[in-house]
Amino acid sequence: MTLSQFLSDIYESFTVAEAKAEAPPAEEKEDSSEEKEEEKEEEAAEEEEEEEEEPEDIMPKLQEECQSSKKCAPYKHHYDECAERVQKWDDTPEEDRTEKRESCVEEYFHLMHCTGDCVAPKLWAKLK
Amino acid sequence: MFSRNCLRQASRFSKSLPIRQTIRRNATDASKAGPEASQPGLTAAAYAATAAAIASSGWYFYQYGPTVHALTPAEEGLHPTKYPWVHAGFLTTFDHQALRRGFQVYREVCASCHSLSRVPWRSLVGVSHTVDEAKAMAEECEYDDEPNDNGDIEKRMGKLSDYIPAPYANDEAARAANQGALPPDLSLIVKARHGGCDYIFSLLTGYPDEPPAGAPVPTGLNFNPYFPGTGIAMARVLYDGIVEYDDGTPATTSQMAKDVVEFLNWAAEPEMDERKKMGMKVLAITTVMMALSIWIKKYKWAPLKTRKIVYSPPKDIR
Repeated sequence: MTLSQFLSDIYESFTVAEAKAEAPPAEEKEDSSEEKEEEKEEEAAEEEEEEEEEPEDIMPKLQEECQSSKKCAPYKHHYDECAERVQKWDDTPEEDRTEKRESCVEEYFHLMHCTGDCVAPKLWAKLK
Repeated sequence: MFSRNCLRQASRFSKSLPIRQTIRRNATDASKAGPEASQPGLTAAAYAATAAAIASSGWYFYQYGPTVHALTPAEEGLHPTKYPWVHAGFLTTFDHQALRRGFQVYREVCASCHSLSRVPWRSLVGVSHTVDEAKAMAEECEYDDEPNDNGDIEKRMGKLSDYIPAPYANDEAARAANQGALPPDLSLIVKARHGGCDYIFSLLTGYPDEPPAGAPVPTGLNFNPYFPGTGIAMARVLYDGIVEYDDGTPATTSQMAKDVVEFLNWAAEPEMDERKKMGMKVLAITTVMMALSIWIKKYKWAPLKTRKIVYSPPKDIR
């Protein structure tokens, strides 16, 4: 936590406004106008969404970027190697198999651990 | 007394010195006299002792050296990533817009299986919804009324004081509807799981498109690295655009997960905002009291600190 953030937190916590659950009747008109504005905004947003169709999550993209980053690339490499071994095992006929089928869960864990640490701050910067 | 003791000891020490010197002289004499006689046995003993030392420490590390894990990493589950939650700061509140969005996600997605049995409609008022909105939502649900004149229990519309209704009548019904797996109640889930918010966010967003190569996934379960044992009965539920937010926020998987986790944290800890505000009040009041007490102390002590006691002896003493 930086000093400026700390100070702004203190300021905010001293100047916090009570949230009124029930709007006083005099303000209702303003509220309705605000609501109308909101509705307009919503309509605009809906139109935008219709254009975009479905919002796309940035998390998978960030994960991919992180997996190819310098820090996590070795883990990705290990996981890929493991996946190859498993694929090899699957391809060999049953009589020739000497070992048990390997599980790549541990390799996957190491990869996801590294990826998660890398993704977290980037994702939070993007989310609302 | 003390000084006498010291002297006595010193004298003793000085007396003992010549005796030591004689012992040393004797030892050197002995080694010179018979080196051949004592050496082989002693060397063998030294070797044996060294071997025994190595063996015993080796045996110790064989016994207790390697740490034993009761669970494999897969059984333990992947530890969740730490996320920089906005409400996690010392003085930060919940993001109440996120709470509103999170409640929408709960209501439209989670509520079909998970109950929120400890949260009444009234607690949403002033937190994420206005009175009218909360009332409208409560009225959409039906609750058992008081028995009528014939003793029958009729249904009535919900009130603000009612609790958010559960999707199933009881745990057995919930299990029966979910292939034996009980969807846990979400009111205190953030406090009830290791990792809290981080765990639930990781769990919701952590479903891989396909399980890692070679990972055993039992039938009826789904792979999720963050769930202990990696086989979880709940399938992935959050997909991009499954909810349409009122405020126009793009409802991506990660956004929905973040909002719903923040909402669940509020559900588990609704007093947090008030608690932090109270903490600030305590700090403010104690600083004022501290300053006051220092000033008062100065004021009270001023006459004592500034006084001067003077003794002027009478000049003519005879």
